[in-house]
Amino acid sequence: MALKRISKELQDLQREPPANVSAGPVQPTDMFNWQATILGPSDSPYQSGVFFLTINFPTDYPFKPPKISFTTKIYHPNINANGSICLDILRSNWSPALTISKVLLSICSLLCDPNPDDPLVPEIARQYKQDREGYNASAREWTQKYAM
Amino acid sequence: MSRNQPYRLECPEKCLQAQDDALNSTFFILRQTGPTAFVLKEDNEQTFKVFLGDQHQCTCNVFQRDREVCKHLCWLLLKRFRVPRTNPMVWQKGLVEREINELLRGIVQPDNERNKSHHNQNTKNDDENDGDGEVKQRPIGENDVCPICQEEFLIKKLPITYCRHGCGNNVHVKCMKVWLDHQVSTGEKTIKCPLCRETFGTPEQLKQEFRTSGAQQAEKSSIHLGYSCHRCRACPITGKCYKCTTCHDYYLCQTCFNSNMHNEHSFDYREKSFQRWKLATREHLTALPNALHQMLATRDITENDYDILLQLENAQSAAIMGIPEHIVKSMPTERVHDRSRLLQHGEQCRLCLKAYQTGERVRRLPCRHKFHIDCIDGWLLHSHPTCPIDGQLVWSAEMEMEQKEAKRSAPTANRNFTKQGTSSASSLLSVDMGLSVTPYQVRPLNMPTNSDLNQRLRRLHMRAPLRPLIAATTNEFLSPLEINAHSLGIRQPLSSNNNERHQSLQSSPPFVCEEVRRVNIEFNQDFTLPTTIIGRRLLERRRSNAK
Repeated sequence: MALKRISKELQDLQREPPANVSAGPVQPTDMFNWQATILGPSDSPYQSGVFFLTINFPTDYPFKPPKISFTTKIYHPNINANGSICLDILRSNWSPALTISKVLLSICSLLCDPNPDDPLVPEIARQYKQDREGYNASAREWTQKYAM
Repeated sequence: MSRNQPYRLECPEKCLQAQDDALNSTFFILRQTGPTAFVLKEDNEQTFKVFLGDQHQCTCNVFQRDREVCKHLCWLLLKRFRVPRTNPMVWQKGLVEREINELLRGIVQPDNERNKSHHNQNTKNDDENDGDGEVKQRPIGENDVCPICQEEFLIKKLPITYCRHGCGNNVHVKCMKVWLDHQVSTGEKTIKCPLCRETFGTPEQLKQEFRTSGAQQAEKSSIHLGYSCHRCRACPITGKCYKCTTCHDYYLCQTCFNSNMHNEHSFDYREKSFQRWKLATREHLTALPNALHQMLATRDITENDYDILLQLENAQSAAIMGIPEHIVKSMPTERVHDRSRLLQHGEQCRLCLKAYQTGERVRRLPCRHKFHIDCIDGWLLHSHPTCPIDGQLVWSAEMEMEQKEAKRSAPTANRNFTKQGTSSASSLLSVDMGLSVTPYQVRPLNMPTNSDLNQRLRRLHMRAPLRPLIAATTNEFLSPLEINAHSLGIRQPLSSNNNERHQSLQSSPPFVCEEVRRVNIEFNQDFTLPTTIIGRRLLERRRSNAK
């Protein structure tokens, strides 16, 4: 079932590609390992950056969430240096009705609106709350350095 | 508290238009950043931050330009907070605190809406209550997919269930069962709807539903789910499934394979979905049974063969015809009553995938499967003479003719069968009786007379070559009839070994002797073909009945 559903999602992604994100298998022979890109949302300090992510599907997908992590370094309170993303729908709140395109859109919206109350990098979260300008500047700087 | 924005008595024209737009469009709430602050996303377009307060805010261009209530604000008010369109709150540029409070507490919602949401909350705490408080099943559109496997519902028509306590959305029962097993293995006690995260029901309820819906039956191994015939578009392919060894993703069903379709490549086939693919040898002109081909190939063609030769062309088209209206209308119907088994969770019409409602009319096929009257009539009248679930032939021209004859010859015996609608059983009986040459068969009380038999036999005989034949490619099976006829020497010309056969008949009871002789005479007026055909058809019928 996993393989069938993954192929189906790939088809849908190719037929109706969502705005600002793209995804597909790294090698056409291995459907369980994908690469995705997210364009930095225009109303955020990540604007015009291109962020790469890896997606690993478990064999019992869609009943278990896919493992998604950033490979491009990013300055964000919910994403750590390893690229791990702190997002509820990727862990406890996963639902088999979620698709890769929906998950990537959620990550996009997480870039626009970080969630400082549930941080993975507490320093950035503190800065986001207390010194928004400083946070914006750092995020822009990292984007220019790593994602362009 | 005074208003930040002047109160408007009338809804301005622009705002009305925005409301229309809002009601016709779909937005997704990406995030709720506050009690009345949302991030909305339009289909494949940018996101907007929308805020309801003493002065509404929206980041869309329309709002920034006109400072007028835009469609995003209207959508939030009309769809998210369910404010009726007639309520003046919808067209204000800002709301006072009291109004915001009302919004949040849902007081402005129409009465029935509010009751429903209250009721849902009750059922949330009380799972046993599966009576009144249930949400209606959402209608299934052509492109609707199962949220779990993402397959379109209406292509394979697998049984579905729906979220009864939350959103009413549809999911395949099978997918939900896998999700349930997974959740249970992680220690979850209740199962949540994958879409709205409301309680979907207890594991026991879902398992019960899985059993009643017959989701397991769909996995019958002679049905090749996921394979559709490239020519007749039958999906899934039932019976033997043929796969082109050269082309990618090219499959044929038995009928289309027999029609010499795509004969430039060789094919593999399998009969059960768990079997391995085996090489299929293509028999030319397989529209008629093999024995017949061989016979036609080896002997001279006479005038009598005209019909058989026509048959070579006709067999395919005749096999996939619809059923006449009066036959469909004559199949038994019933009305779903209050305590009907059809109202159990999981029971559903496997054509439209909707649960049955009290008062609906359903039709029962001879195989005892039931469907909505409108659904099954459309299916049977338009080129599907089979049951949508098990593929059993419901009616065919020759079954009808045999049934009529059976009625005429033994009216009392067969009336019961026709009443029950088991047309296949009665037609089988008629063939059985018509050719009862087995020496030790006990004659039933109301057995037709010999002259009747003779007449019927002659008719069968004459008609045999004209009938649409179900192409049989295997001839390793011989029907009991064929074996009997063969051992009695029916196939050999009468003149050559007349005495010998009479000797062999000495041992059998006298009345059977007489019958057999009549059979012989009948068959010797022409070549021995009909025995083979009738025997083969009888065998086929038996096999399908045994299924």
